[in-house]
Amino acid sequence: MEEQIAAVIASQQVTNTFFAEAYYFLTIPLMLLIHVGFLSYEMGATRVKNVLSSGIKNLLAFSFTIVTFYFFGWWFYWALPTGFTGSEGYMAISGIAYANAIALPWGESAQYMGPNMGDHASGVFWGAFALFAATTASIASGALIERIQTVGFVILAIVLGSFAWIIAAAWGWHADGWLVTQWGFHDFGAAGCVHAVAGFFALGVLINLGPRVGKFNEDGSANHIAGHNMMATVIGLMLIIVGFFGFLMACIILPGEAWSWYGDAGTTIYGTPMTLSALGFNIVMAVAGGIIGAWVFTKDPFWMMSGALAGIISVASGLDIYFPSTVFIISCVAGIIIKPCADWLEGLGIDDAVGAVTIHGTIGVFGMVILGAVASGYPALGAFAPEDAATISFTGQVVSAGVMFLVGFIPGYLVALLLKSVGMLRVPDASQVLGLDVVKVPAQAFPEGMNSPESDA
Amino acid sequence: MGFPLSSWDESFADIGMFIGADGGAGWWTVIAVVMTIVILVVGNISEQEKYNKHE
Repeated sequence: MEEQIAAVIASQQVTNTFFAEAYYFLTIPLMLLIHVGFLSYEMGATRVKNVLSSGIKNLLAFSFTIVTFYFFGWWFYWALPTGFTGSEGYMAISGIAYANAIALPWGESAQYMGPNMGDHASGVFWGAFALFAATTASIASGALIERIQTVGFVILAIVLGSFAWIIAAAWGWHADGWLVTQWGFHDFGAAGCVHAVAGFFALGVLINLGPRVGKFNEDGSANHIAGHNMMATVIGLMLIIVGFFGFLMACIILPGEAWSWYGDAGTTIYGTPMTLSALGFNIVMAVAGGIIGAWVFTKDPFWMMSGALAGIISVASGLDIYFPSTVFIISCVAGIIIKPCADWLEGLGIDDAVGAVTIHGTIGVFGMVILGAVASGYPALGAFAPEDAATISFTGQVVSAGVMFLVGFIPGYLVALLLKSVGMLRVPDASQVLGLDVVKVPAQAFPEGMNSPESDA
Repeated sequence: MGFPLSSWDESFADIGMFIGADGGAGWWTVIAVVMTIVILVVGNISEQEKYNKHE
């Protein structure tokens, strides 16, 4: 009898393990849809003369981020949660020694960075995080279209996708992260470490990159530079939304495994209680709220779909604990404010081609701070946390939002400044006027004749 | 190089079963990193030539 019970338990565990492995594995192709979306979105938002160049930039950002995240990005996540000292945290799943043991693609730790029949978790977790990283790099990409050099951009994407955001994730998206343990930072869906970091990284780059030729007049007024295909852009944005279902479901820690927080309950990455059903309510409410909010002032499908994205980002920090009606209110407000915020930025002479700084950066901060205002007192960590662990607070969310801003902006600004100094940042004006595809792409987007009018430049 | 285990049964322990698991994995990584850097350098040289041609 005991043997039969043991056999049933073992069989159940195998099922649980394979379910968990399949669950995270399937988030990876779902998240790849984010990149299908970004590709369509950015190519659509580009003028005919630069379409293929934008596509190439996007594909390379994805590819180089994935590769470098394998080489070193994953290591940062496990090494630095407690800060740059690399010491071990309370949960004993962080620190340089721990990262050296599990996250380097060489030496003893290589056994967890490749095929291993005893490890059904590392590959799928790494894959999901690699897609988070690539998403972060792609977010910044759209702001920079039509005048950034390809290799210069790839270097920026590597810095953002395999260093900056993962530092922010280690600090604020990890149970040992110092922003979590000391400030009670809560950011379930990565409004901070993904969206805000990417948005403000893009701002740092934009300040050095400058606007597209023809964007601003001598008196400082801005011209609208329309992309060549609004349908591709809007459908791309919808695909990004589809992919975000995969992104957000990957933020849940399933129960019943050696690496789970609990044997019988799903949790957030912080070990706080969480159900997939919560996402069922809240993601779709956020999408709807964002679209409706953006419709109020713009009546423009580009901004309405951007509003959908802003809607999700505005509530991403608290998707695990918000009530759906609250989600609608917050996401609707986010949709309402994105266009005025984007116009304000443009008024400062910043040419953010797709509104990425506003949608991801400004709304990311808005979302983190709003959560602090309404969720103060909620525990930031699960039941296993030390007694003196901080709870969610307005101050903690504001401080953490400030840290996210700096972790994005400073590396973006400094690396862009360095690239500018060696002539690897901005495409020369003559090439911009001619069109980047003619200058450097041995293929045609529309070979049967569809050209940008000269006035575009 | 070569099969790093004594038999497939051994692979069901918590141990890498990939080519290079017996110590060569790091060299594959070194080669991959060097390839990545060289591709970026060559790519940048090619890109700058194209811009210069249209100055």
